[in-house]
Amino acid sequence: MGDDGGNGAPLVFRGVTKRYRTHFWQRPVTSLAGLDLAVRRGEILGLLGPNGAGKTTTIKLALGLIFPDAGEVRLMGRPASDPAARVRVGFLPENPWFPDDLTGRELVEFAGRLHGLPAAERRRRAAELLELVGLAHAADRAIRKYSKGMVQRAGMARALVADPEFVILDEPMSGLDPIGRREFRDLVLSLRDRGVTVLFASHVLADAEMLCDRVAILRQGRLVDVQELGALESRRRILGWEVEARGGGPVAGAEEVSRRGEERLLRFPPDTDAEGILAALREAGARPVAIVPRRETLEDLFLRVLGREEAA
Amino acid sequence: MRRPVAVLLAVLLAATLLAGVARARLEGLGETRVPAGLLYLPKGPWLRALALGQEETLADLLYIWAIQYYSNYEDTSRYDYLDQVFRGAITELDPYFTEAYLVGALIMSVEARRPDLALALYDKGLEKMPDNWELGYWAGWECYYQGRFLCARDYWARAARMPGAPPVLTRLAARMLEKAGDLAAAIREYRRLLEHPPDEKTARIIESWIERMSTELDLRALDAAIAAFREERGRCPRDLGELVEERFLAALPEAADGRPYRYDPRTCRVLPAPGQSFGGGR
Amino acid sequence: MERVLAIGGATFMEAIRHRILYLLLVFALVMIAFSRVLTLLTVGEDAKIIMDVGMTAIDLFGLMIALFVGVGVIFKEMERRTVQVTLAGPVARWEYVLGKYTGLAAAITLNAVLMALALFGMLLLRGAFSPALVVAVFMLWVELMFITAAAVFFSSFSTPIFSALFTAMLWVIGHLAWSLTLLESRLPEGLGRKVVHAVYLLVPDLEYGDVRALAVHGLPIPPARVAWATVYELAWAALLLAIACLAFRRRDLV
Repeated sequence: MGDDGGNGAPLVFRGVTKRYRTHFWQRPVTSLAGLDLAVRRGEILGLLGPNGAGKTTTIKLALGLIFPDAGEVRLMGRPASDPAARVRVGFLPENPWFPDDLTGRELVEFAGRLHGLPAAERRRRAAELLELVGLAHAADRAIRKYSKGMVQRAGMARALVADPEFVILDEPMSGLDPIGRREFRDLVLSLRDRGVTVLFASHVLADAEMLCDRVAILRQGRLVDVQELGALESRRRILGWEVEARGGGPVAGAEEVSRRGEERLLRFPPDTDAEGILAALREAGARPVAIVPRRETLEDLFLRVLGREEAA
Repeated sequence: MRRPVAVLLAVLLAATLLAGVARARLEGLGETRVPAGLLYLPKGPWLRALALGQEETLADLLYIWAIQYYSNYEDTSRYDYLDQVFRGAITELDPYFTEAYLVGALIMSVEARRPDLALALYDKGLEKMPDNWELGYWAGWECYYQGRFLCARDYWARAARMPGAPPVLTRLAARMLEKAGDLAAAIREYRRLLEHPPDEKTARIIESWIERMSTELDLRALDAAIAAFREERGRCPRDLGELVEERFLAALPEAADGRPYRYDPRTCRVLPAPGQSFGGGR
Repeated sequence: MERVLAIGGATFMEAIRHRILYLLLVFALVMIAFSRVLTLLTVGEDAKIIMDVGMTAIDLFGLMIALFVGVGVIFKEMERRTVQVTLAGPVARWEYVLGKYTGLAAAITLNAVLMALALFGMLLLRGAFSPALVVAVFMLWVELMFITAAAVFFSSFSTPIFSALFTAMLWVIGHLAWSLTLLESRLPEGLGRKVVHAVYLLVPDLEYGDVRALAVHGLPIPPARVAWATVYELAWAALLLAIACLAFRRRDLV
C-alpha cells in the first residue's frame, strides 16, 4: 500500500485524517479517518461511495486545497501542498463553475498558461483538445451560453491542456446524456492507453463499472475496501436465473413469467445451476433457448458490503 | 385591470400637488436663513478632521457658499458668524487660500464694519504665509483707512521685503513715516530708495518729496528757533542770521534750490522766496 | 511571475466588466465637469476649484471602486468555488493573492488615469495646468494602491460587506490619524499620552502623502516627502499583502 517515489505512485495517502467544524461552537465532524491509499501508476482507480463518504474531501486533500489534520498526502512524489506537484496533474471538479465571461478557448488557454505552456503551444493544445471533446464549434462562445454537458467537456479539455500524467475527475459524468457518457468513457480509456493515471470519484456505480481497473470504496470517511474490479465482479451474487424455452409443460422449481404460444419465459431461484435447469427443462419437455444468470448489480453488491460494514 | 393604474396615477398627481403646495408654503414662511449648521461648525482642527483628506475642496465649497450668503443684502444678521466662517472655518481648512483671506477681510471691513476682524484675518494669513506680500499690501490699506499710519507702515515695510513684492511698497512704507510725522526718518528712507530708483520719473517724484519734506523740516526748525528767541528776548529776531549768532540755531538751513530762506522781521515769519512754495500746512 | 501576471490579467478583465465601475467613472467625470460650473460662483481665481474637486473625485471614486469591486475579489471566488479551479493548478497561494491584487490595482490605476486625464485636459484648456498637480495625483495613486491592498487583505477572510466596511474604516483612520497628535497634546503627561502616541505610530497616516494643498497653491513640494511617503504607503501595502498571503497559505478552501 505505502509505495512512493520509487514506483512513481502518483498519489499516496498515509494515515490521513480530516475533521471539519462548521461553527466554532459545534463539535468537529470527522470527514476522513486514517485513510491509507495509493494510486498505481497507469491505472484507472474509482473512488466510490455514497454522498458524504469523503470522496470530495479526498480529492481536495490530494490537490492541496485543504490540509490534513493527521497523516501525509503525497502527489507525484511531492507533498500535496507543493504547487510544483500539480504541474503534470489535471483536475475536473464536480459541477465546475468557470468565470462566465470567458470563452471555452480562453478558459483552456488560461489553464495552459498557469501550467507554464508558452503562448503558441497553449493555443495549439487548446484547439486540439476543444476539437477532441467536440467543442470546436463553440470554442469562441462565452461559457455562460454553454449547456451543462458543454461545460463538462470544456472542463475536461481544460484538465488535459497541459498533457498531464495524472488526471483527477470528480463526478465527471453527472449531467451527461448517454452519448456523452459513452464519449467520455472512450476519452478516459484513450488516456489510460497513453499511460495516464486516472482517479475518478463517483457515486454512480454504473460509471465505475464502465471504466475502472480498481475501485476504492469509502463510507463515512473510512476506506472500506480496495479491489480489482474483476474481483468485485466475481463477488456478485446470483439472484436468480432467467430462462427462455420453447414448448413443454410445467417446469419443476420454476416460475412461469410469460407464455406466448410456444415461447416461454421462466424464472429459476438462485440455488440452482445451469445443469439443474437443463435437467428440469428436459423433464418438462421444453427446449432451452437461453439461460441467463441474473446477478446483483455492483450497486447491490455495494449495499450488501456497506450494510455489512454497518452491521459490524 | 385598469383600476390600479388609474389609482396609481391619481396618487402620483396628488402627491406632486401636495409636495408643490407644501414647498411653496415653506418658502413663504421666510425664516431667517442662518443655516443651522453654521452654529455647529466644529473648531479648526476638528473641522479639518471631518474633511477626511478633502480639506481644500471643502474650503472651496464653504467659500462659494459664503460668497452667495454674504451677497444676500436682505439678511441683516448675516454678519453674526462672519469671523467663524472665514477665520474659523475656511482658512482653517485651507490656510493658503489667499483669495478667501482677501475677500473675507473685505467683507469684514467694508460691509460689516469690523476692521478689527479684518486685521485679525490678515494676521492669520501672514502667519501661515509669511511670504504673501498681497496680504500685507491690503492689510496696510486697512490700517491706512483707519488712520493708523505706523500700523500701515509696519505691514508695508514687511511686505516690501517679501519675494515678488512690487517696489511701490517701499515707497508706501516710507510715505507712512511722513504721514506719521517722522519726517527725518521718511527722508532717510526716501534717500535710500533713490539709490535704486525704478525709473527716471519715479526718481524725480521722490526727489520732489524729499525736497518738500526737507523744506518742512527746515521750516519747523526755523519756527522753533524763532519762537524760542521770542520767548527769551521778547522780540522777533532782526534776521535769520541773528538766530545763528545768538546760538538758537546751529546753522542756517538752505532751501532746496540753494537760495536762503527769507524772513520778515515785522511778522516774525519765514517767507517763501519768489518762485518758491511751501507745501501744505502753512 | 508568469502565473501572477496570468491571474492578474484575468482579474483585470473581470474587474473592468463590473458595470458599477463605469457608473463610478461617469460620476467622477461628471463631478469634474461640474466643477467648471462652480467656477462661475467664485469671485476671483477659478482654476483652484477645478483642481480641488478633480482631485477629490479621484480620491473618493478610487476608494469607491476599491470598495465595490475589490472587496469581493477573493471572497466571491471562494464562495463560488472558482478559486478551486485556479488553485488546483500549479499555483502557489501567494501567487494567487498577488495576482488578484495586481489585476485589481491595474483596473483602479486605469480609472485613476482616465480621471486624471479629464482633469488635466480641463485645466489645460483654461491654461491653468501645472506639473505639480501630476505629483499630487501620483501621490493619490499611491494612496489608492495602499487601499487596494487593504481591500484584497480583507477580502481574503471576510464577506464583501465586512470587507467594504473595514476598508472604508481604514481609509478614514488613515486620514484621521494626524488628529491623534492633537489628542496627545491635550493629555497630561503619563501613560495615556504614551498609549496614544503608540497608537499613532502603529496606524497608517495618509496625510504624509497628501500634497494637494501644496500643488494647488503652487508651493514647493519637498521631494524627500514625496519619496518617503511613497515608500511608507507602499510598505504598508506590502505588509497587508504579506499577511494576506501568509494567512491564505494554510486556509482550507472548502
